[in-house]
Amino acid sequence: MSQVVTLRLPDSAAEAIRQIARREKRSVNEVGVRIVEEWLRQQRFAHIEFRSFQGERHACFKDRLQVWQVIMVARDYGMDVEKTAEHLSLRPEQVQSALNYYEDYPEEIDPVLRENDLGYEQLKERLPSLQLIEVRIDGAP
Amino acid sequence: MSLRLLLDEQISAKVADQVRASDPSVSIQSLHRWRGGSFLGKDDDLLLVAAAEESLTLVTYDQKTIPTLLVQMALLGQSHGGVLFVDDRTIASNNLGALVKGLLSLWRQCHGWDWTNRVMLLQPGR
Repeated sequence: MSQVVTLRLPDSAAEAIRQIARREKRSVNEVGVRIVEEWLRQQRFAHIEFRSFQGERHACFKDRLQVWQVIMVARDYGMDVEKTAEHLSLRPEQVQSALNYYEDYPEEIDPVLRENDLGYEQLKERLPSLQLIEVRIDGAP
Repeated sequence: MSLRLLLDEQISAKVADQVRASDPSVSIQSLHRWRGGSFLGKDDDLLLVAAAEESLTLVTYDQKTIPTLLVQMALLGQSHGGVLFVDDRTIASNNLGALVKGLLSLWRQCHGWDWTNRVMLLQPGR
């Protein structure tokens, strides 16, 4: 669901949005919606900001890693905030903020987590020079 | 250039400590401490270039972002210091002991190799 909302922007802001739209080959509407949506989420979720990675926008910690990476680690700790925070050298409230974000936007994070689960065959398709190196993890030499 | 490991941001800094404690000859650093942690949260393309300057091989669970960057670097004729992928489904990120043992095993097998532009996936043996 969406609604049409008319806004009157200063000339400089309107031109800045048009420049972003041209640079990203998106419509002014798409860029405007994204700016508003990201700003609103940043107000709701402390510690979260949005950055571009290879043309895609991702929720991230300010000056730290992307939210999907925090969730990847948190899943392995059974979503335990303290253990995840210790692992990533983050504060517990930062990890909690990521978990809250994930709870509200799983449809945004889950596909990224799936994209990260490539495995050898798919990774090899993207990186033909990829080699497997078999290692012992049982402590044997 | 022989193997020198740099652990990515999603890997606990304890892994580097435990590997060094087990074998002080292993060259391994955590991104959490490398260059004073100044590359935490930085774009991965900048990280790969900086790591290459010090002939560091990046160890990472990030199979989403890094592969595309490696392809772009190859197209631009840029070298990197090597990348070692770890799969969360074979060595879970919270299984620090398994990763420590895997990296020690890797070191024993191939620390003398030239890791420039080498791309490998860590595979736990049976």
